[in-house]
Amino acid sequence: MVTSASAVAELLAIRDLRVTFRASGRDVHAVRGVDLSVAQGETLAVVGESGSGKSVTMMAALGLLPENAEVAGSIRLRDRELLAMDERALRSVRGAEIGVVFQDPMSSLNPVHTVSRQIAEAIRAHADVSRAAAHGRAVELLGEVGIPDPRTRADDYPHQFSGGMRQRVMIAMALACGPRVLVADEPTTALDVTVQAQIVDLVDRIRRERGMAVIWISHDLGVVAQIADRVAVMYAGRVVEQGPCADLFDAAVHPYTAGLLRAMPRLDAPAGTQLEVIPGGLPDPEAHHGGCVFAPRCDHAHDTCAAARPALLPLVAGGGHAVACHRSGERLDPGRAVPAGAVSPGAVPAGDAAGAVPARLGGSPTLRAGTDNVRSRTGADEGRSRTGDGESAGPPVVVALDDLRVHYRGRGSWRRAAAPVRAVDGVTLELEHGRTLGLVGESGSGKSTLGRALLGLEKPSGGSVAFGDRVLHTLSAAGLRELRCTAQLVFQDPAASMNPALRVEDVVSEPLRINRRGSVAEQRARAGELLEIVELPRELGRRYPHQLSGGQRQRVAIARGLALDPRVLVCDEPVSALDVSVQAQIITLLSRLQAELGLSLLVISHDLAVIRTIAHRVAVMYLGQIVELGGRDDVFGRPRHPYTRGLLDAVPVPDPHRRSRPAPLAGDPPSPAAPPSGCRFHERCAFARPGLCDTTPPPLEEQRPGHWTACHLADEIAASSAPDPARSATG
Amino acid sequence: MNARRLGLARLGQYAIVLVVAVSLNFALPRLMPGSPLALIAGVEVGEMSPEERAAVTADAGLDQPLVVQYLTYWKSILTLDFGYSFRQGTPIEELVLERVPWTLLLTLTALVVSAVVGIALGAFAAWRRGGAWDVSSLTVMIALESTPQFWLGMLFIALFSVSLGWLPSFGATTAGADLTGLAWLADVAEHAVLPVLTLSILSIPAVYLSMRYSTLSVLGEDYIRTAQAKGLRPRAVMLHHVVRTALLPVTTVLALRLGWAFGGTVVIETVFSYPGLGRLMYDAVSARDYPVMQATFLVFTVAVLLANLLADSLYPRLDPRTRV
Repeated sequence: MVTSASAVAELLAIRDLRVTFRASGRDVHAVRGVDLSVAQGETLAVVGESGSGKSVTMMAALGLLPENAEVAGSIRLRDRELLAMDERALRSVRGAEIGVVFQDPMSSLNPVHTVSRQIAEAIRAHADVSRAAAHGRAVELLGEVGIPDPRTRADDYPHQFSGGMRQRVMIAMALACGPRVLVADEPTTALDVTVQAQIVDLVDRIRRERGMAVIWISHDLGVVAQIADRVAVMYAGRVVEQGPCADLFDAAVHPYTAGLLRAMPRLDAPAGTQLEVIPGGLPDPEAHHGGCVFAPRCDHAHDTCAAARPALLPLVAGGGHAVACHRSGERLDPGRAVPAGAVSPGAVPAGDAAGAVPARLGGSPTLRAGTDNVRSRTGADEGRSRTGDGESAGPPVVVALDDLRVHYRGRGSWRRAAAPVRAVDGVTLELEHGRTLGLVGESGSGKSTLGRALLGLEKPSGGSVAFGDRVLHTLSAAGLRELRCTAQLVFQDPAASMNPALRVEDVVSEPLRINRRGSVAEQRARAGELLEIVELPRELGRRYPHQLSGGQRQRVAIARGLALDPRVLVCDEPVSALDVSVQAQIITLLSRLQAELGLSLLVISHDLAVIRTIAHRVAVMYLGQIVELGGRDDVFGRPRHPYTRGLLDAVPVPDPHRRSRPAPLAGDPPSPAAPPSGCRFHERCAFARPGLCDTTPPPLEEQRPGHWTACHLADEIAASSAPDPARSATG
Repeated sequence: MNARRLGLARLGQYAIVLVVAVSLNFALPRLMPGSPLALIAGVEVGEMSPEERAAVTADAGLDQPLVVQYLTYWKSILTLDFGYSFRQGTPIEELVLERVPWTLLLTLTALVVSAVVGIALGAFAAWRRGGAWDVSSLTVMIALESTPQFWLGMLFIALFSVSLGWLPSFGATTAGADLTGLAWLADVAEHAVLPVLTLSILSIPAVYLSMRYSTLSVLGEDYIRTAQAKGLRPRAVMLHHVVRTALLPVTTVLALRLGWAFGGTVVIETVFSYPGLGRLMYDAVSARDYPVMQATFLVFTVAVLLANLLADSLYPRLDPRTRV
């Protein structure tokens, strides 16, 4: 349907692909007519939320769908039709002509074989070479993808590599037979942001060197903006918009694309920018839609949208930017590409078929505000600290951590303990009343342990956690139980943190039952109230957790966290498991609840943009210690610690015009069992000064009013480096 | 260094189990009602004069303090001196050594057969999950799992020995045939078929079930998809990735099955009148020949411990993640 304007021949072309999974009399329409193509040397990004069919599309191209999948349409590699191939012919395509890198390098490598063997196996599957030659080639490939000392490391097993290094091994394996197309299916989603930046650079370098085509599947628009030549946006099994990267980010036409871009928390947005909430969720994959798949969630839907399926048509005849929207003509305003005025986030969805969306969601002004209310508070606080009132004027402290340490016994023998794992190693931090503290850091930095220790779920090895004058580890079991009513936890994975055998209302009222609050009827009534507080219909209480969407489940988890009217809520990666549009809903909800209920929130996340959107104060954690602490605008706008700067630089900016960025932080965080001497960051720090940074641990000092940094050289670094335009918007 | 220390720690754990088993063995006759003299020295206590009794007591060392008795017991075990059988009057050590090869022949052969058959059938069933083979084999295996061993043994005798006359029904060799060389081997093999078959069939379901389950879970792993995406043939995926990884938990099951097989020999060797340790134990129990019972019990314990030790030391070779 799309006539590509590019003169370059299409390498892989997918036409009207449909995939239906037939299971026990029910049909799941995973892909509903997809057109995609990629040319040699080009990076095509396929963007979509979970359930959009992006991975299924790629698996169909490889013929790796389960047997109950019914595939129709056409997938051509050069001039060969893949869907018409038999299994044997397809095998010669897999690995040899299309290489794949999967999301989780931990689970995608076989744990019982050495990495060189797994790479050599791919080579020998397609070429008649000796074992030794294949091994030699594997070592070369490992070197090419940046594994240091590849000759020795080749005979290591996957578990002996870090996450980033494992993903490099996966890439080496995908490249083993010199494929023309590399499919990267969410290759950086499981990785830390600094490692993600390394992998993005690596894939881009290899594409250039080898002239491969890359299909980069992702839900992360930031990464996509950094790497893609062209972007295809998928929704509910269809491509709704497709075009050159810059066009799409500058002038998204489809309401879904535009909504996604606004729903995404981003570091380069001016503080106070509203996150747009796309109400509702993905349509039922079992239903058959005659019309536009996005119509039920669309603010612009009118009668034709529900009646007829919009075709993916070029906006300009022969142009590369194509949109599947009946109203694209009206929405495309030549003067102003993004018709921002046409999309008012608060508007009640017109012609809304989605009954699942609570009516209030569209109308309530409190819902829209992401950073809005946060902004005003921070502004006021900043003003105060600048005028020199200092700490005394700040909000009262609810929880105080004093030199908190949580060490785990290392993996040694049962007789002699190895060096302890210093998960949290001397953290002093205060959680203030009615404010949100964001805690960021890479995986393994100890942020979750810190959150658990704050709730008394981990026994401190040193230091203390104090709720007012009550010190956690001195409390009796009864005292601790009582205290826990005032501090609750929301987990990352809402599905895993709920008893699947309980109805939603019982999940929500469980804390009441455990603490014997009220009669059964009262508990049930309270559960209904709580569901309404988190903007879910009361009727949902009768359902079971597995019948809910991810976003609804996380709302239920929050409702459960609020059941006992806590003063403190610890949210450990509350939105990491959710899609972008749903993330925005949950962030907005948390902000609202925090403001309305006067909660003290501790939000733990590896996602800096999320923290920036929700937090008043931010603490940056590295290897068990806080390296920087301050107001949100100070930490994000004027970061003083090189690690914070490295983290911020590594976050991909969803703007294809700003691709140049400093080299990503090299390497991986060292082991918390053997932290480096001196400043723990000095091994990865470009500024580290021998004789100082590697010997003397820098104290966390209030180097600017209200802004604490643990770095010997912060002043020099601040003086030497020019302000980064990418962050100047924040200040 | 670290690995060695862990290995030592594991050996230490086995040593503790062994000490507990030996101590139980030592304590058992002394804890049972009646005079330990009857149990240990195997004499009719009531019929003896006090002098005779004192002499026997001293002879059995029962007049010594308990600690000394315990240490003496250890010494006798370490020197393989188990005393004499009441019934036959022969040194137990001789009896045991004579029987061990036959029992090992049965149990090890049965282990290999059940491992090969159980793993192959289990992997195949999982590969074709829900298919006719999977459903029917699963049904048969569950039926076999609940079959009493003596019944199966007797069924085989009735069928293959009595009705068809294909195979001998008792003994390890043909009595008085005085065969040598290959003829002797063939004779031994012929006699071993039915007991091995019975033992194997009873072990196969456990191996099959664990292999089937383990294969099913491995089939859902991401690295299987990776292997397919590399363009490997289905057979290579199955052998190098699925079966190879699915075997890990099955090794533990196999080690445990060896212990079961030893226990099974008590019944099987009795049914087939096979001159192994199990039969020795059964006879000792019937004749209340306590020293022999104790000795066979100890041998079985050590054998099971060794099998587990073997599995434990094999495991890191199979699963690199457990190598520290």
